[in-house]
Amino acid sequence: MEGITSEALVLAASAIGAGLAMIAGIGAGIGQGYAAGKGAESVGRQPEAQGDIVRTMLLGAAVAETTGIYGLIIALVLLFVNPLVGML
Amino acid sequence: MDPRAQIQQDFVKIIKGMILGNVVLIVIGAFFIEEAMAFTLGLILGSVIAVLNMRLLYLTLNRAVTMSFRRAQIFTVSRYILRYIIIGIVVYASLTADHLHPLGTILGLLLIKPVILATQLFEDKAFLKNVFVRKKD
Repeated sequence: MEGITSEALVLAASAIGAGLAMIAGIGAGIGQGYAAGKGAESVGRQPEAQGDIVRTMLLGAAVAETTGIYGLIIALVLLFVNPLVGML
Repeated sequence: MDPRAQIQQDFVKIIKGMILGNVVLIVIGAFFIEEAMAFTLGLILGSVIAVLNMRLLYLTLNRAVTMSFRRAQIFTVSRYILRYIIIGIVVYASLTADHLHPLGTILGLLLIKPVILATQLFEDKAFLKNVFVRKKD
C-alpha cells in the first residue's frame, strides 16, 4: 500500500461506487422500454383503448423512473461532493 | 370520460400536489435548514424539472404506442436516456452552484413519486378501506 494515500483510496472506491450506483438506472430503462413495447402491442390489438393504456403506463413509468434517479444522485454525490473525503 | 381529458386532469392534480408538497417542504426547510433561500430555489427547480420530465414522458409514450414492439422499445429507452441526462445536468448544477441547495433539488425531483401515489393510488378511500377485507367466494 506504499504510495497510495488514504484520500486516493477513498476517491478510487467512490468512483467504483458511483459506477455501481449507475446500474440502478439500467433496470428502470429496460423496464420502461419493455412496458412501452407491450403498450404498443396492446394498442395494436385494441386501438380504442389507447388513452387508458397511455394513462396507466404514464403513471407507472413516472413512479418507476424515480428509482433510477436515486442511483444517479448517489453517483453524482460520490463524484462531485464526496462526503467520505471529509471524514478522513 | 375522454382519456385525454382524464390525463390532463391527472396532470393538474399532480401539479397541485407538487405545489402543496413544495409549500410544506419550504416551511420545514425554513425552520431546519440554514440556507433556506437556496433550499427553496433548489426545491422549485427540482419540482419544475420533475413535472416537465413527466410531460416529456407522456409525449414519448403517446408516440411509442403507435409504433411496432421493437421500435417502441428502442424509442422509449433512447428518450429515457435523454431524460436521465437532463436530470443528471440539473443535479450536477445544484451540486456545484452555491445558490442552489442540492437537498432541495433532490427532494423536488423525488417529490413526484409520493404525489403520484397520493393523488392516484391512495385517493380512493373505498379501496383503502377494503384493502384488508377478505374476498368472499
